[in-house]
Amino acid sequence: MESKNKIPEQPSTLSISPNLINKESNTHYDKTKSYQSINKSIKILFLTTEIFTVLLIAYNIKLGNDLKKIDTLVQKKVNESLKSGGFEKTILDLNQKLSFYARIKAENPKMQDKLELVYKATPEEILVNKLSLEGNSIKMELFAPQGKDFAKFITSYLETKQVKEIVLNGANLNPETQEYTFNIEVVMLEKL
Amino acid sequence: MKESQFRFWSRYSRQYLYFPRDKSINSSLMILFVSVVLITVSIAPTFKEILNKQRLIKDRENIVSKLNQKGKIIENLRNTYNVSLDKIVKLDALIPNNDEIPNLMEDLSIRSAKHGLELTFLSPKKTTHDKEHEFVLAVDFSGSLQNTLSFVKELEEGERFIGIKSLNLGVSSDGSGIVRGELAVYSFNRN
Repeated sequence: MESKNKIPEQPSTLSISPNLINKESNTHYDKTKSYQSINKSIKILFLTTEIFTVLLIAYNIKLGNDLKKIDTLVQKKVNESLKSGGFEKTILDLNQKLSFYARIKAENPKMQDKLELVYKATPEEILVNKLSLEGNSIKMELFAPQGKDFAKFITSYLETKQVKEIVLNGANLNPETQEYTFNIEVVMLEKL
Repeated sequence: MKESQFRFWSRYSRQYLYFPRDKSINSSLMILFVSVVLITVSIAPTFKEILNKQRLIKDRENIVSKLNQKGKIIENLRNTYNVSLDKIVKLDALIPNNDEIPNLMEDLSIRSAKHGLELTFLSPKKTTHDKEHEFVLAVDFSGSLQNTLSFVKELEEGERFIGIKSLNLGVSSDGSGIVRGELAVYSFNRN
């Protein structure tokens, strides 16, 4: 009896949620909401893209204007540079000429200093028969009445600060007159 | 129960339940597609163009900077040039732009006579035809060592640069001094 009276428990087909919406409709609601949120996101994304595009185009236009301005400036500067091209050539020529002058000045040391040295340092007793000046050397053929005069000559030259060395190339003694003839080379210092 | 529930939530449920879902998806997809097209057609090329323009502007700025520097240097050089104009004129006199050989010969003759030397021989010896031009002359004078010294001094301190390559002094049979030398004059051809 008891078993007959017992009503078998049947699972409820409709479960009532606390917010009074059944599960099925709630799922549907969620899905729909999700679609809408996706839709909204896409719309926001689209709007952002639109704004970004507009900003990008504006920046592009600004860059275009900047480029035009800087092109004008470059043209102006190039024209100025071309105008000063003649002056540049003058300066380059001048520079080359200065180098050329320095070079030829070094190649041609002053002869007047050497001549002055010969003129001042040669003792009165010595006669210069021949004198040859080339580069830093002075070649001389000297006539000395006595041997000690030649020693005087050497001392006098060596006392000057311009002489580097004196080379005796030859000496002759005339037995009849007891007079000397010397061939010497005076080497001067590079920087006279 | 079901009926009542539906009735209770009908307004809200209908709003969600009967929302045209497919339409919503389609519009979203359409928007996505438009965005992608926009990016492909407009944004990407504009972006490329912007990068290119930025590069060009940077290049131009470098050029302007270099030209400005060059301008400053030229301005300084111009000032120095103007200040040193007298020295430049002197340099032009020392090394003229042309050989001016006839003038040189006349000058040598006059100067040697002024110093008691007699010009007995003059002959061109070597010439170079470069931009930096050298003209070597063989010359003979007769006169004393003292006269030669004063003559050489004047030559070497003259307006035009004259290099004395060699100088040989001797005594002739009649006792007078003989001076034989090689003189070099220079010119600078600007062209």
